[in-house]
Amino acid sequence: MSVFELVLDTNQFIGGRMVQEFEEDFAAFCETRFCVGVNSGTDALRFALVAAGVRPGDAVVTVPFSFVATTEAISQAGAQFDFVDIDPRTYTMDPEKLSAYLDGRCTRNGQSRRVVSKRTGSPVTAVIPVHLYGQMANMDPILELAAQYDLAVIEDACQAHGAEYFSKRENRWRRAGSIGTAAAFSFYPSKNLGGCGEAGAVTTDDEKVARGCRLLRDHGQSAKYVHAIEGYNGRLDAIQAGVLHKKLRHLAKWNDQRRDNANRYDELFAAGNGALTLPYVPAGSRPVHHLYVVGVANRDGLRAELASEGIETGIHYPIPLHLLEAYATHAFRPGDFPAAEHAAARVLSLPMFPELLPEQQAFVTKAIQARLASSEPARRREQA
Amino acid sequence: MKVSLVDLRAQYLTIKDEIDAAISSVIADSAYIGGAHVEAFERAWAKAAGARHRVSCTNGTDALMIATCALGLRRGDEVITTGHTWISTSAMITQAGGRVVFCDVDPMTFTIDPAQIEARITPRTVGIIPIATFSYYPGKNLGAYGDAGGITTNDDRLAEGCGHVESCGVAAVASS
Repeated sequence: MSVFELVLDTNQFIGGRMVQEFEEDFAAFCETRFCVGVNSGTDALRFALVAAGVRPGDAVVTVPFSFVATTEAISQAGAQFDFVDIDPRTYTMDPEKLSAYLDGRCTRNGQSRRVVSKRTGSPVTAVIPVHLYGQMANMDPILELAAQYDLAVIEDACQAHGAEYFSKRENRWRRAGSIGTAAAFSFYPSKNLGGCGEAGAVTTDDEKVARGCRLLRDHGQSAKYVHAIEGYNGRLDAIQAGVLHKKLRHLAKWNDQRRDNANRYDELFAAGNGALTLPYVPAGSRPVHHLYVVGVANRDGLRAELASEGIETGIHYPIPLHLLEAYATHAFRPGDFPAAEHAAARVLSLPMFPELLPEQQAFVTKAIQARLASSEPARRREQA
Repeated sequence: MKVSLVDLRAQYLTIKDEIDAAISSVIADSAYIGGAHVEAFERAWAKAAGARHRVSCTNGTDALMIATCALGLRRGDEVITTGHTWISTSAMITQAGGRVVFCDVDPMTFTIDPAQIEARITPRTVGIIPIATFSYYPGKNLGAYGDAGGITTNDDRLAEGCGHVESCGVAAVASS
């Protein structure tokens, strides 16, 4: 029976058995106890924050190099956001910057372990490390700081389905979504695990957080028309759950194919000149390469030239969050987070999907190397 | 004899070919979010509702939330609505930063009683919600096979605002 026929057969279009079955298997895939299917990755972040105890008036610290959903979720939970810069090599949260923030850009709040953000005057109650491009952030030091300062850790795992990180503290590999207080996943169609429309999930080992997310996604209903709290409409459609459940069985294989493709790009580019910054994978990280992102100086020019040869590329993301028009009232300035700003000016996402062919990758790398070689004399002159 | 409160399968069977073809074409085009299929529906729905603009979104709750935000609600602003409705109506006023003012319903029609509205208008009142956003929840008169919703309006600026809120500020709304 097709997914659609199955949904019609159960007559449960929203929530229901198909959602539960997917939730159980996705929790197992992420090596967590609970999974709560929701409407989108943004809702997953918002519900995880609220269920993990973030209250209106709190501050949540994250990175400025992410999709806007990360900060939207914080604002929609009623909290203020603060930023710490990224590690320029991995594009994920720099734990030393987090430490410097908690130590220097916050003040002690009496006897409590909690600190108060100097910028917003709000108590810092959570941190959101973003596992960008399919690679997990350096979680050990982030978790240590979170324990020290009593912060909930919400992993933004919207690009990291199946990514792994070797925890030295625990001496074992941990999956994205299983290492923090809770994690948010997006199943946007283009993701490593993508629906045929909007979808997302929260994973957690904490039963209270899971229960909170289940209430929040369904208007705060504990039973039909009994609303314990005000919630949202953030449920997962059965048809999405059915599609995701079928696709989940292929996810490990698809992630392996992405790894092969990333390795092939690495090898093809290895012979080229030094104008290109290749993705950096530190020891103890097993990314799932949602995106294959290179750094290059004349990014926009290269992008236009590749487009003229039929090669589509993306930019994730061209404007760091602190410089978005939406946040103009926060009075951030260029230079506040130099690593994020440098990355935003240089990153270019190359074609990446499991079925990408070796000859397509050879075509892409050749086109890029040809452009870089022809601009090389100009680059030398600039440097001279 | 078993009689369902609502039998969605019965309706599906009367239009099975059309629905199956629509789903197949979305999948064949890989146009899962927004795109030509959404635009075609929005255009048809605005025409059916007699409005110039239409913004479709994830569900009726979001439709209310987006429309309330696009109105420019500020903290403490009051919005009048009825207590005889689904919780989304009042929840979205609160979540957009406003204060809910309940008005009773006409006992004959179960909809907001216009005679009682005026007494509830204060200098802080910015809107009245007589329930005019649309939910396409599966059990609705026009129901999807999952959550869906929409807003229609004749106000150009409101339509533009709705488009911004709906898509993280990236897109604007198409006009007819």
